[in-house]
Amino acid sequence: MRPVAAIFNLNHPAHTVHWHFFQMSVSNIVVIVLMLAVFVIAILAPFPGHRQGGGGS
Amino acid sequence: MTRRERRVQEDARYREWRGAYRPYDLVKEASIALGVVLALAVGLTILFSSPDDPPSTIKQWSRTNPVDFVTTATTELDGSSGTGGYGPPYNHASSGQHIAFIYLQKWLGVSHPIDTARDYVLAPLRSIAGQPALQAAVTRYQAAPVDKQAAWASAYENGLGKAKTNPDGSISVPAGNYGPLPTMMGGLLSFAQAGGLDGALLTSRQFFQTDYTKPLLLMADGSVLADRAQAQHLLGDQWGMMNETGSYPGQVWLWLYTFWYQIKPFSTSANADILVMAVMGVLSLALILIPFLPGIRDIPRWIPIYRIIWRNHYRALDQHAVEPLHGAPEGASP
Amino acid sequence: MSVAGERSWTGRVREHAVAALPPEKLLPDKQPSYVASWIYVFGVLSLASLAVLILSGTILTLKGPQWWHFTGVGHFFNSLHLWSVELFFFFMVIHLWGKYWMAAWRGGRARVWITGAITFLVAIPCALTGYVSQQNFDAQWISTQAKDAMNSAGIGAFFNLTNFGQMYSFHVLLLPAAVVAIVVAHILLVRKHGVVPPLEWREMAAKAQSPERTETSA
Repeated sequence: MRPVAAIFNLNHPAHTVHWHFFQMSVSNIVVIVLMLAVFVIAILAPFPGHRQGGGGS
Repeated sequence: MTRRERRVQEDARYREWRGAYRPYDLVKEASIALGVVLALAVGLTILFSSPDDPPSTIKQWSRTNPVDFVTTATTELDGSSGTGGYGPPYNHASSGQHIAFIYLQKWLGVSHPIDTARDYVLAPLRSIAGQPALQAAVTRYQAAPVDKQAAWASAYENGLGKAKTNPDGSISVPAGNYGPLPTMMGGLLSFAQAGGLDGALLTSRQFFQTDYTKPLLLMADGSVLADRAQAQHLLGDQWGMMNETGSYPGQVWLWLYTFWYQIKPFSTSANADILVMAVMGVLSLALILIPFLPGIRDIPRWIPIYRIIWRNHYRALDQHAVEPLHGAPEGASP
Repeated sequence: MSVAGERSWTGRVREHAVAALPPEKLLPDKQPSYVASWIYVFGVLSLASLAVLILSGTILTLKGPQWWHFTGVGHFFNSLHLWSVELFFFFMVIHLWGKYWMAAWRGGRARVWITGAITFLVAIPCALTGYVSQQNFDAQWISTQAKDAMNSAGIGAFFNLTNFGQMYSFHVLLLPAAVVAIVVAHILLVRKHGVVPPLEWREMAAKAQSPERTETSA
């Protein structure tokens, strides 16, 4: 395997969170939390006014 | 008017918006989105790169854990390995998993036949040239009655439980009634350690091959892959289906697939896979059909997150309801 | 206009297509006033992620499946491909959440929801065939484990996860083509039916849909 030029080397066994039978890697938890956060922010964040373009669908 | 009729009427009003519009640049928006995603993907690549743990090989396995390799090979010989007893699509050793009377695994048949004794032990040994003692051992094994073969294999497996690895990579087993097995397995071990078994299993059908089923199943029958997987939190009971090697984010979208395997009755069932597939099949269908599922389709109304999403719209409605009373000009925006 | 226009198959297809999606609906330059929330950008972000996925995947096919193991450039494009998968699912699921809480299937838009859900469900095996095509330890492990689920349902009889050649073909051609086809149908349906109006919170919402209320452009 070629050495990988990355700023953060993630090639070490993952830290995991254990709770009863629930087990998840910290990286996956970060992704899930990010998704929830982005969803909430997307709903709450003010959207540019009506006169401007760049809306979505 | 019944509630259903009111709902149908309301739904008809949703078909077409006849209210206000505002300018919108679709192509510009798509271009911006493409730029944003490219920037994110390139950024994540520069920050984290991607994992690439090199594959295990039978050569490595037989060198680093020869006892496990020989034990696995012996179980292939007597058919007691995972693959040996698997059933379809590899053989008829079992009917496979089922739900009640539905035996999909059996009904779809043996499409990738593997005779573990022949494919993993006897054929590779027969391909080794210039070793008459080894060939004689194989001949003696093949000529023996089935119960004798089984007795030798069973005794050898017991002996392997107390086996030692020698400095030269071979193994030593306590004395026992193993017949020709020590010679055969010694020959197979040398062959594997030289890299011959990787190639032989891959090209057993023809020169050009892209089907790695045989070598992969042999490795999966032993502990080489599972040991690495455990270290990387990839085992089933580690919710491994969701994980990636290293500390990379994995397949988060598989959370519900792996969840079922953690709880009863799935966690203790011999038919866990088909049961989970059935549950997920039903839930997937339900996801597709949400518009038609009473209750599920009504939750967005009961938990009105929509009032936050469309708060500007509702506020504008309120103001327009009020404005005419205050004489504000028609068509003014809020 | 051809004299045989209405009778020929081509003419009828053209008329049907233009009736369902006239140019101003296919490429509109205005949108309903209620489309004013950041939750609305996740559809196009999912689409953009799919585009980057396909672009990076195309580069990977140029040099064959082993290239990325042995060169830095190859590894770079593999990383792009992997992160755009993560971004694709990230944005697509948020898009799904948003559309669910908006009950976006209303007003005859059930097929929009259906095609969206099917896209998600087809993307999952598409990703799986990618993971088992990596030709590294991860691919070895995933293929030998997931094969049990496939085999249990009889799918393993014709869809062999440990057969690299088959999995690579599915991953590079068949499943992305399926995803793209369903996504195209999904988008055309959105263009045809329009973005779903807000739920009627009070009766005045019904009044909002009066033809006189059309803003002048900015």
